[in-house]
Amino acid sequence: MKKWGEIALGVVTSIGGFLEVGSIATSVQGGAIFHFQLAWVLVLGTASLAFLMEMTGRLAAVSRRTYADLLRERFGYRFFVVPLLAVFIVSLLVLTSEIGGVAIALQLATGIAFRWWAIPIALIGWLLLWRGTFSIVEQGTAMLGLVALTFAVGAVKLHPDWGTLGRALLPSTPSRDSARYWYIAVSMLGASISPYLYLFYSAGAIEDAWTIEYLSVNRITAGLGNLFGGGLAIAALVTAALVFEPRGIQVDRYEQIALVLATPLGRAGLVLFIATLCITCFGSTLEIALAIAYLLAQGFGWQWSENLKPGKDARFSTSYTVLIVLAAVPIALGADPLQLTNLSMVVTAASLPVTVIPLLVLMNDGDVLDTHVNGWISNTALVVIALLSVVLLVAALPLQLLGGG
Amino acid sequence: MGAVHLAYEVVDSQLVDRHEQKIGRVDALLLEAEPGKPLRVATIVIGAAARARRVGGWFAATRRALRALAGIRAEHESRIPFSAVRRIGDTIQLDVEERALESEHFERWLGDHVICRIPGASGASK
Amino acid sequence: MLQSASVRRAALALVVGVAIAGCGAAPELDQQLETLSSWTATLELAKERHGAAAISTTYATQLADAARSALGKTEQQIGHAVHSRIDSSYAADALDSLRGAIRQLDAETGR
Repeated sequence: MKKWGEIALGVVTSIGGFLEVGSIATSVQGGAIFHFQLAWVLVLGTASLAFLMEMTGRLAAVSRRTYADLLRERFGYRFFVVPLLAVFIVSLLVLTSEIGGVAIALQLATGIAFRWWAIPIALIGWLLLWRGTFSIVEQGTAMLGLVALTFAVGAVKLHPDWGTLGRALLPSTPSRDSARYWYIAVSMLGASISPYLYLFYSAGAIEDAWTIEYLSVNRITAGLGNLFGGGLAIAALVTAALVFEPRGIQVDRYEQIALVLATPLGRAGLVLFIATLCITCFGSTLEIALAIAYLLAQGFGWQWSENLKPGKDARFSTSYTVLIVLAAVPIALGADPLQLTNLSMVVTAASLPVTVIPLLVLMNDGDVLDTHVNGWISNTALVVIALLSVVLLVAALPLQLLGGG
Repeated sequence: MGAVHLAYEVVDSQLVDRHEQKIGRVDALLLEAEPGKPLRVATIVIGAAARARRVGGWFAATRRALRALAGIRAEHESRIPFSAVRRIGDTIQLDVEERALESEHFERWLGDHVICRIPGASGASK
Repeated sequence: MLQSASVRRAALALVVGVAIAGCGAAPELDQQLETLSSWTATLELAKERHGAAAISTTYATQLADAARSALGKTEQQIGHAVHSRIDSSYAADALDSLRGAIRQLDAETGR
């Protein structure tokens, strides 16, 4: 019985957790320019993330160690430094963008410029991490994150052509503006497949004391959660395709994005969009700060847990404190949140190989996973994702130059 | 106890003290060579300098230079005799106290001088 | 000798290509016009939505301000992209449309 509660919680967490500043921004930008055409990229990203999360969750449940633990233990410190640095830098960039997202939401609501919100947001986020337990953080953001369902409602109310949408779920090439098409595709993938997501998921499995009995919970949570979450991102793309594309509105500023729900949902639309942006980005802020702190603590062997009082894991709690304040600084200084988001998504996509390729080794290591090593389905998926990550690494820089804003 | 694979089961493994408190990872292992005696695994080293050296000489040298620039002299390293190993499993348990470890200096310093100044940091569990 | 000349030419082409792609060279006229019409359409939608009480005045004001800064930026850059009389009339029309849309939204929000 308790397991079903855990599954429900995990799924709900993923629904709200999937949508955050990166997914919202890239899906809406994609829909505004290319109508439904880029939907297949979201399918690819969602499926990849689902597989990666199931795997890092399985690692934790079977070996009782997180993915970060295993990166150090099975590959040695010398190798570990590489993913450590890559994930640290990239995730910090994304963390900054998420704080930017919350700040923009508050600006849209109040008219007070986003830069003034940066520090208050960091402080409140810090306070929640300082005083809250893992369950509180997980459940709180999960429940509130359900407001993101607004996009699904909005999309349906706009009466999309389901046939066209269905066809768009299959890969296609652009008939015009190739550079921009592939640039947005890469940034969508970076938004969907973020290392902090599957690293955090792995750490969360240990915080929640998962054991081998949780393997099916893990599979269902990773699968269903991302299915719904990805569906929401597609819903955001659909609303932009039906509201912006016909009018020739391209998205250059966050202020424009907010209009996307004002058409199908009227007055409630703007309010719900602001709430969605605010809550999902805030949840991601907490998640990323924790994810980086987990990576540091687990890699170096410090005492760590969100369930411990900060005094008991000083280095861990100092880490997330410093990180969240540091990430607020660029926003407080007025950095353009949308450009920052787009950049951080592309950089994320390029950084994937260092956290995907080691999984090829770990998921087939009998010493780590016993009889629960990858079957042929998981391995095939992992090889495809690994190849994708290398393609993204190679393509990222040229696309940023040619197709970026 | 059967054979222990040093590289796979010891180096980089999580260390815990008598009370299952995490105290870092095995950053280096020192062998001891005494004349007339066989080589044996003598010491577990926990410390940033040892870690840095494993990445490479250039890495360790850069780290030393940066610390010198910042005026940081002290190296807080723990050298624990291998005989203190109680259990080798998912984690390696050592017969030591976290409080007594030099390598935990920063953790204690942060706890005493920074964290505890902020309300809500200590006391009963969350 | 012929080989080294063509290698040099290829290298030069590569460098120029990357430089053009990489430098923030003034966006083409098409892109500028797209940006202008995008903002014009944005403000038209906003005016309609504000009329239907679907968006707040606070928010509509922010949109108008964002459009104004986009207008200013484009006004500065568009001069470099204009190469003919037809070009400059397209540019003038697009700029005027946006200015008009901003005025209309301001009127709608009572500024």
